[in-house]
Order: sequence, then C-alpha cells, then structure tokens
Amino acid sequence: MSARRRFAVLAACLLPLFGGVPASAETPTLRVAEMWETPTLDPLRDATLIKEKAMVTETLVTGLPDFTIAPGLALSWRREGETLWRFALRPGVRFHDGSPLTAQAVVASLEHGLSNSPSIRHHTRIASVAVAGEGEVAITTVEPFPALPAALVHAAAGIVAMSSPRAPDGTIDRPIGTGPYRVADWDPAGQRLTVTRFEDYWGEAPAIAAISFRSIPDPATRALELRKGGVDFAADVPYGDLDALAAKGFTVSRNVTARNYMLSFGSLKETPFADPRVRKALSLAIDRDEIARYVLFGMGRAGIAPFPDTMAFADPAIAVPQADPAAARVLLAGAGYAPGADGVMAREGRPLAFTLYTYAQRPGLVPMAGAIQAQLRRIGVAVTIRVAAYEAIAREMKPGDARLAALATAAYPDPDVFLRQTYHSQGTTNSWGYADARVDAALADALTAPDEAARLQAYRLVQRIVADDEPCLVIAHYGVNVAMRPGIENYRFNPIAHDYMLDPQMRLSPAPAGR
Amino acid sequence: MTPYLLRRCLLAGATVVAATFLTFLLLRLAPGEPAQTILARIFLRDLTATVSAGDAAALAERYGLSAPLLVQYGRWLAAALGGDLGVSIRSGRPVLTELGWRLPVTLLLALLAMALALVLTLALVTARRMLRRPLADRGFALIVTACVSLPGFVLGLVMILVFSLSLDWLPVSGTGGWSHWVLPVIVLALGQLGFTAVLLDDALEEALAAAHIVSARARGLSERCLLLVHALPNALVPLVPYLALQFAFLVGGVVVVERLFALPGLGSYLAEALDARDGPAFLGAVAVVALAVALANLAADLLVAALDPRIRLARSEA
Repeated sequence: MSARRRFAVLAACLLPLFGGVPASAETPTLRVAEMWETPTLDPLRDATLIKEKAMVTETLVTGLPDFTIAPGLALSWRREGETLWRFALRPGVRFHDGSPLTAQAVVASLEHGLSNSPSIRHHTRIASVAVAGEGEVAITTVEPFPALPAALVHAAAGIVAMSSPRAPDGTIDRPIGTGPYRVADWDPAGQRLTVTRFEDYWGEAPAIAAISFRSIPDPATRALELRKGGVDFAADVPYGDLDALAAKGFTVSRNVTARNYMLSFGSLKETPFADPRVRKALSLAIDRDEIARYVLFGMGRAGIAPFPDTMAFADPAIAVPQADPAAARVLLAGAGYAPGADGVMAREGRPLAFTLYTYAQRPGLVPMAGAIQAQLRRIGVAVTIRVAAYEAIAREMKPGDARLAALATAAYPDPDVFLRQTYHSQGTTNSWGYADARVDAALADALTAPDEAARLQAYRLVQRIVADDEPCLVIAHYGVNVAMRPGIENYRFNPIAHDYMLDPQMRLSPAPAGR
Repeated sequence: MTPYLLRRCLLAGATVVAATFLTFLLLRLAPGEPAQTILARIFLRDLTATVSAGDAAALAERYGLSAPLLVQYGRWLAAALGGDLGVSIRSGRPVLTELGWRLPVTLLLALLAMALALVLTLALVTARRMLRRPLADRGFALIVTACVSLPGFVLGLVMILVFSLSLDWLPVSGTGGWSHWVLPVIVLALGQLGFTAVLLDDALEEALAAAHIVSARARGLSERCLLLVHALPNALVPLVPYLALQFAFLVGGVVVVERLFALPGLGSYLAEALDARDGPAFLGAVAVVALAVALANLAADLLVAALDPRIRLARSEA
C-alpha cells in the first residue's frame, strides 16, 4: 500500500471521530444561538426554553408585549370568590401526541408542577387545582390573589402532557405540549435542540417549518457566529457590537424589558439616606440619559419610575427628570451639608461617603457603578465601588452603604409583586425599611379592588408616590437586544420573556448570497 | 516497581478525595445559603429573585442539604466509590451519564492541543538552536512572550476574526466536523507553547553543555547530529513531567476555550455547574478532573522512569 493510500485509509477511519464535514445546503430551518446551556428540556427546570423560545408548551393565559393579558389555552376566566377562580379551556386543542387538551390534563400538569417546582408555587400561589366540569378548571389560591390570571402567563405554568417521556427520577425528558412546535430532535450531549412545526396546532400555523437551537453561551461568539452565517438569530450580543452588526445589514432591535437597574440603600433609618432631600440630591446628580446612552450603548432606557412606559400598568404621568447637579447641591445644603476640607460634603464632621456594592453577572452594572461614582463626585459625594458575588452583598453591606442591582420587575404581566415586595413596609425585599402609609394603603386597596380599573389606579398611585419619594433609585430600565440576519420578517419582541421569546409568525427567506 | 505503582495509585486516590473534599467545602463556604441559591439560580433562573423560606427548606430536604457538612460529603463519597456520582440538580440526570458525554470532547481537545504544543515546541526550539542567529533568538523570545502573555479568549477572538470571518476558512464555533476543532486546538496549544518552549530550550542548553556532548563535538560530529541525536532525547526527559503538570493547567484553559468556541465539554460543564451551584454536577466533574490529573502525573512518572535508567535504578534501590 502506498503512503498516499495509507493516508487516505487513515483519514477515512479518523473522519467519523470528527463527525465528517458538515453539509452546507440551505434548509428552511431557523437557526437560533441559545444563550444558555440546555442540560434539560424539563419545563419545570427550563421553562423559558420550552415555552418562550422553542414554543413547545403554552400557558392558560398569554402575555402580550405591552404587558396586558389575553386568552391562551383558557378562553375565559372568572373570579368566583376571594381565592377561587374558574378557567374555561379552549376547545379543539390537542397535544403533540394527538390527545385532546382536557380539564383533567390541565389539572394533572399543574399538580405535577406544584409538587415538583418551587417556581410555580412561588409565582402563582395556587393552593389546589380541580376539574370543575366539562372543559373547566377550578383554581384556589392560598390567599386573595387578583393577579392569578397574569401569574399563569409565567412559563413555568406551561401545560405539558403527563404522557411525556420521563427520566427514571420523573424528570420530563421530552415534553409533549400543545404549542406550535414539537420536539423533533434533542441531543443533550451536543447541546442541540430541533423543534418542528406541529401540523395540528389549534392556532395559525407557523410559517417556519423547523427551528434549531445551539447553545452558544459566550455573547461575543454569538455575534461572530451571526456574522459568519452560522446562526440566523441571536439575543444578548455584546452591546458594543450592535452598531457594527446593523451597519452590515443585520436587523438589530434594542428592547426595554421588565428589569430595572436600581440603587438601593442599606437603611433609611439613622443614615444620611433617611433624609428625602439627600436621596433626591443623589437622584438629581445622576445623569440617567448619559448612562443609558454611553454606558449601556442604548441598551436600556433612563427611568425613575418602577416600570417603563412600555408596560400597560405604568403611570405615563411620571417623567424622568434631567440631571441637575446645581439643584442637587442646593438640596444637600438644605439638608445641612457643606463642603469639607477634602471637597466631600459633610454634616457635623461626617462626610457624605458610602460604598456602592454591585456584581459582575450583568454586563452593565460595573461600568454603571463607575459612572454613578463620577457623577456623584461632582456634587461632593464620595463613592467607593466594591464588586462582589451577589449573595455576598447582603452580608457585607452596612446600613450606610448602597447596592446597584438589576432586579426583575415583572416575572409575569402584573405590577403587584414588585411593588409589594419593594415598597410595602413589610415587603420581602424592602430591607432598607421604607414605610409610607399611603403606599401600604394603596397596596391593600389593590387586593380588594372591585375591578381591574380600580386596581390599576391603586398601583399607579404607588408608582407616583415612590417616584417622588425615591426610597431606592431607579436608574434605568434594562435592555435586551436581538440581532437577526436579513430575511427574517414578522418578528416582534415580547418583553414578558425571561430572555427573549420567538414569534410563531416569524417568516424566513433564504440568506442573501455572499454573507 | 509494583509496590511503587501501588503507592502511586493510592496517592492518586487520596488526591481525588482531597480535591473533592476541598471543592465541597469551598462550594458550601461560598456566599449564600445553598438551597436559596439553587432555587434562585436553577428554578427561578434569576440570582436576584427572592425565595420563600418554606420553598428553600423543601429543596434542602429534597437534596439533603440540611445534613451536617461532613455527613453530606460522606454520603457523596460513599456513593461515588460505588460508581454513583449523584444526580444533577439542573437536569435530573445522572452526573456520570453527563460526564460520559462531556469527557470525550475535552480529552480530544486537550490531547490534540498537547500534541500540537509538543510538535510546535520541538520545531521552535530546534529551529532556534540550528539557526544560531540573533534574529532567531529574537523571534523565539517574541513568540514565547506572545504565547505566555496573550489570554486565550483574546487569541481565540482574533483567530476567529481572521480565519473564520476574514478568510472564511474555518467555522466559528460548535462541533460537527474536523474543521471545528482547528481553532480551539490551536488556541489551547499556543497557550502551552510559551512554557514548554522555554523549558525545552533550557533543558537543551544544559544537555548541550554535558561532557559527552563536548566530547562528541571534539570527535567531529556535526552540530545537527549533536542536537537531534544526542542532546534532544536527554532534554526531553524533564519535559515529560512538566507536560503532566500542564495537563492540570490545560483544564483551566479548556474552560475558557470551550466557552468561547461553544464546545460541550467538561470545562463548560464545570463552569455552568458552578454558576448554578449544581453541587453534584460540579463535584463529579472535579472528581473526574482530579483523577485525570493524578493519572497524567502517574503516567508521566512511569514514562520518565522508562526514559531515564537512573530514576528506574533509584526507585528499585529505594
């Protein structure tokens, strides 16, 4: 055997080890760069992948991009008591295995979730679920909870057939849902998932025949893979790459989502932050527009209210003030502060200085802390930045310190949870001790409001009070970007998603040649 | 030799136990209460999420997190010795199954990178020695400095920009064909090259100064023959244990390279498990890495003994 033939034989033996040369033929598949590893398809562990991205499961109630709700697998619902709700199911819906969506199936799915997922219990506060008749489900909550329909929008409450193949420990291996796409191929070793169009879908048939997901955890690699043409759709690419991608013809969308960059104080008692004038001075000294434009590269919007105006329940009357260092100095002077020898404002010999804690997991936080430090220096407030693990901050932070974090404001389309936990005097995250009787009263009113309009008014009142009082400073509303190759149409970003949500009405034309 | 081998195998086992125990302790000493952190990071998928004490207690009960630390580790170790590395909290799948998927990717990557680093080292060092010109010395120093100082993610990004985007020769990331391995292997290999080249060059300097080389040169042997036949084999002996040590560093490099090139290997598994505080998955992966490093050292010791009769003799006398 000649050396050349020996090499050819050796190469033929080794090629399968490397998987061979990939085919390059154009297929009608949307190729998505998934931002996380995909170790499981269990809807209780990775609901956002299964419901929001792969569109395999659906929820009883649907959330719309403006944070209103609409019928999903439930056509209608009504509140029958303080804690009792009745949901009428949409007729004619089938699971991917052909079985019909019945009240029994919905009850079994929700009960499975309630027993196995802290997430569903946490978000929906469901105490029990029962079949209430032909195509109707009764849900009882553990306490009066007017936000239940909205809470059922949460991806973890997606309905899955109990006939779904399981792992030995009961984990769902390949979920069978009712969504427009069904699991076609999953390679957990290779971190790839392919879903194909469900032909018997109850709604409008999706235009794209198949969607494949490949895990690409590094944002820079996602952007490069998009430029190379290895994927068609990527979310959360580096902020600094967005303009370059747009210049090359890619479709780039910058979207505001349900998360706030917030500066919260260690304590509002016996610290300088107890004085509303000091908090307002800090707020006025922070140039939110500058931060949104130059620190976040436009990936976020300046804000002062708990919710951005893209949310239906936000109070549109709340305006973001322009930065005004001069007014901030006046406020500090009114609060008894005067410049000290080192230029730092001080009162009774105590300088206005604090440590600002933050963490590195969200890309905008550390540079934002730097910008805040520089902006507060202009009014004589000394800030020391400390970057730590998120879980360590609560332990290390002292009452006179502050924390900059990116906090979710609506895991589902309802304002109650965030307002209650952040601003109620007994709120679970209100560790700084803010207490305002007007806020507590409005939140109590919301629970017993006779209708949705009255409930909304109560929440808007809370928003106005806290935007004025600023017990913690909202700096900006979080941004999520999506970049797509040209030829993808009909995509609408839905900020209800945890990361990003795909749209079943997306259309895909072949990639332009030469890209 | 057999008692020596037995002793080394026991030492390798002790290394794995020590590494996993320390990892377990560090994981538990990390900020945050474990059950709350797991709930927030895995089930609620938001590290800033607030969780109720009741949910955290239920999760701690389910995964045995409320038992004393030593009891928890003892349970894990007892099961691991029986071949059960537990179940990943993220996926609900046996950790051993997942490691079986991830390990071949990382092993292939690491072995190809080590082989390439070795080939490049031999080429670089012998070229420098054979050329014997100031320009070659400067080129050697430049390459070594660049390899040592350039972080893997920077080098990787530059190589993707050049070879994947500008020249369109290679894919950016993922698996699927032989071409997917080229850039990750080169990036990982170049990360090793600087160290191995300096080490071999020093060893070669020492070998070339040995009395038998001086004597051979006096007898008129060519410089090429002196270098390749007489000095290089001797200079390779100290490189072997170093390569075994480098294997541990390689695992560190693999974490970065696998993330950058989206390779589903052990490195990315470790990083994701740590980020999610998936204790069983992280501990299992650490055990495999520790075992691999211990075995690599053992193999290197045996290889050195095979290459150097003096070491063989010393061990048999001991």
